Amino acid sequence: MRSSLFASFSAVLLLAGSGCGGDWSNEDVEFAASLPHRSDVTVSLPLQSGLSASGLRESGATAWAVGDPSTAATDTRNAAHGLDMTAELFITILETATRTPPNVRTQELRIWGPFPANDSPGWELQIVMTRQPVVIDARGPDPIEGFYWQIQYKEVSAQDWRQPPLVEGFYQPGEIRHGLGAVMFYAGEFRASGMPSAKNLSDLGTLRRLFLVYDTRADQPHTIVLQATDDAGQVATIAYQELATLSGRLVFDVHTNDPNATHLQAAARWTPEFRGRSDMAVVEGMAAGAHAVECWDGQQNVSFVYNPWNGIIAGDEQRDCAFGPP
Amino acid sequence: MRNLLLLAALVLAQAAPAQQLRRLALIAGNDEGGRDTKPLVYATGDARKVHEILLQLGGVQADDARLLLNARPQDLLSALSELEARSAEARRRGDRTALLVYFSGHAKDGALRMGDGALPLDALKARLAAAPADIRLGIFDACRSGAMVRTKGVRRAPAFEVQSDARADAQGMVILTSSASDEDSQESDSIAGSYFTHHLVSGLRGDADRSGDGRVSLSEAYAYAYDRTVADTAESAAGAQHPTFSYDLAGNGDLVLTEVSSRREGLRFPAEAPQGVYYLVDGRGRVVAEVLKEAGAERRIVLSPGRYRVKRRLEDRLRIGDVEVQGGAISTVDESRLRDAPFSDDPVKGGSRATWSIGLAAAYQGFFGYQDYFPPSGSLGLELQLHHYFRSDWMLDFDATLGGGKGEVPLSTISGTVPYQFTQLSVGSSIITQWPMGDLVPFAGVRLSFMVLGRRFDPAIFAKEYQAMFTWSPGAVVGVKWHFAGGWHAVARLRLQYLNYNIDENRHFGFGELGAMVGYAF
Repeated sequence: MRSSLFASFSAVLLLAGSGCGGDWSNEDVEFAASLPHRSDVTVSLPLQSGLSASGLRESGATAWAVGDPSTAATDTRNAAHGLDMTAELFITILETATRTPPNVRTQELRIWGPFPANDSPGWELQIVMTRQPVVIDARGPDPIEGFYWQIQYKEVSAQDWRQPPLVEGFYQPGEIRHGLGAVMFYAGEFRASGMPSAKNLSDLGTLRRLFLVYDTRADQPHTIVLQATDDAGQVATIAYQELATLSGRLVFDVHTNDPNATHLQAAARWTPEFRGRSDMAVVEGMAAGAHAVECWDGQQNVSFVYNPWNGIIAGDEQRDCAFGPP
Repeated sequence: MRNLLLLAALVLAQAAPAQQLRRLALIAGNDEGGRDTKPLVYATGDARKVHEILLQLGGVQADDARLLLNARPQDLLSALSELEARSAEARRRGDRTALLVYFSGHAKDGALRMGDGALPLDALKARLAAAPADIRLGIFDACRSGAMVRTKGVRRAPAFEVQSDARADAQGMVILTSSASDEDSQESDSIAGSYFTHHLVSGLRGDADRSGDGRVSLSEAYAYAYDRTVADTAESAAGAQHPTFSYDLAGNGDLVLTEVSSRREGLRFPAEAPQGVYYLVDGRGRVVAEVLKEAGAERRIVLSPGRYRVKRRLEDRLRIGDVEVQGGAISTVDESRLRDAPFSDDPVKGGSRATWSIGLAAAYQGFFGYQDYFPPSGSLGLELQLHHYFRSDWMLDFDATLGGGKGEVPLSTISGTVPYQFTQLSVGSSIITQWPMGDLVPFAGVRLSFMVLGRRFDPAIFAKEYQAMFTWSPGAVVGVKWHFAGGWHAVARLRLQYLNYNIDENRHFGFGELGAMVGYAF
């Protein structure tokens, strides 16, 4: 027994030379803290309107009388869902990947992966993050130390990762997981890659680029500006600003090929009770100067409608709208 | 001369049958002897054996016995006062009383050493002499304890005389010591005790009953212990050890120490059994008694019910067999049921002085200058300690601790810190050497632990939520142990450990752990 105890103790001493292991890393925490939080790139009740003016017109055309279901309110929810789904694509990849320790660690670099793409057999993904100076607002200050990250993808058999990446992001530090950030989603290249999951993303439609800038710094109102460009070159810009908790405003700026309205602007606002108002104006086109208003109540029914194109005016704007004119 | 002693004992034992008297006993054992002494291994164990035999066969009621283990001098004197009061009260009621004081431990410079405390032998002897008991019996199993009997009426055994006065009951004082005033008292691993107490106890169990009357008298017990102790130590490196005897009894001058015939359970060695020394080994491999069997003589020994292994050593082999002692029955050792066995099958676990202790520890841990990586934390732990295994003053310690606290990861690029909950599991082993100084025992040693560190984050901040690290950590430990009561002890200690970190980069950390423990030694 005595010799076996000595042997055990000696074995323990020898094992002491084997060093240590694990994933205890302060730097991992710092890198992960620069990734956008889900709430930074999603809008709880925004309006996106299908990235075209047609959706707005069609929805506006369906509201005929006070008490009808508000298509503007429904559009708000649907658009919010559409935007969230877009953000969901890369946020899920980021969060899933960073639940594991990185596979490569150097002082200024972390790489998670490669991981097999679950819904795309034969394809793989990886996340590459570097700590480096970045610029997000060209009108802003000089480059400051931040983080640049990419979600890269390729076929397993391929030698190189595809360029451009699926998503790339920039982050200028503010607070943990908040700050000034930009995300570029290369939807057109993604669809063209032939990756099976891209084919399944029918919601992307003809989207080619999605550029999203978020500002969640503590001393700034929470804002998201999203600019979408489709294959035809039409550009839609949506600006979200949080007004108060659960209350916000979305502003659309949409360029179309419709000769009646080549440039549309729309603004939707809502209260925490989800009473809301949508204003739409034709800035350029044959119908330039025309505008329409639809307000809805807490049950998402029309409380006021002003649609001179269809000759509809119903309700009392001052009494029945949660907001006045923008 | 020894035969004369035995003859006197026989005569006295027959002439003076034991009287009914109230027996009180104070039994003390101290392994630690304070400064300039090495700790003993079996002193407390010897005290337990004597306590047991006195309760079992010595006519001492449990209420009238006090067992002190690793106690202080004032504890002994306090217990002595209590027994003196009992004795005085009994005498007022007309009873005769006998007060026995037994001590096993160190003696040095004319004093019994009890931890850091010392009890002068002269003072104790004077106290015993004045004790309100008809018979006072002191038995001291301690180095140089013969100094106790260097005064009037004392001489080295076996040249002692017994005042015989059969007309009256015995009164007076007797002192037995395990060694002469210039000798060490020796312990033996093979019998797991001191030679003297071992033979005294074996004799009291019945082997010393040379008269065959079923009683072991004081003179029989002493003569037996003397012979066997001298014989066993004659070849030892320390030289022969000679127990001494101071006898100052008046009246019917012998005292029956144990009534072996009162217990009807034990072992009988029939007259036809081969002569020699038989060892009775219990289930733990310890010699509980030995019997010196002479040719043609029957021997009886009292043992508690249980299973024993009987061993007799021959020149070239052992004779071994098992025997069961039933309650209320005398079992007979049957030579035909013993078998030959090589010496390697010796059932005696000789050499094992190991004792165990357990403890509950609390500690506070901090890293030197690197709280950014590992926060300070508190911990609770369980420890198991093996004493005197490799060496008499060494200890092997096994510990398991669980601790935790709160920490923050400071961020360099992003403003703010990321809070987390910290946990640490540590399993370690230490080899420690001790320098006993009475009740205080400074110690130092080396420790190796396996650590699992973990921290949990708010998943809303850090998706991975949990990080962990495992590593070996060598270090050193220093501290001091304090024996404060019986087997209980308290420990204060400092551990200094090294930790290599190689995840973000290769770094070398040091941390300290200030801890306290309360333990109990078995």
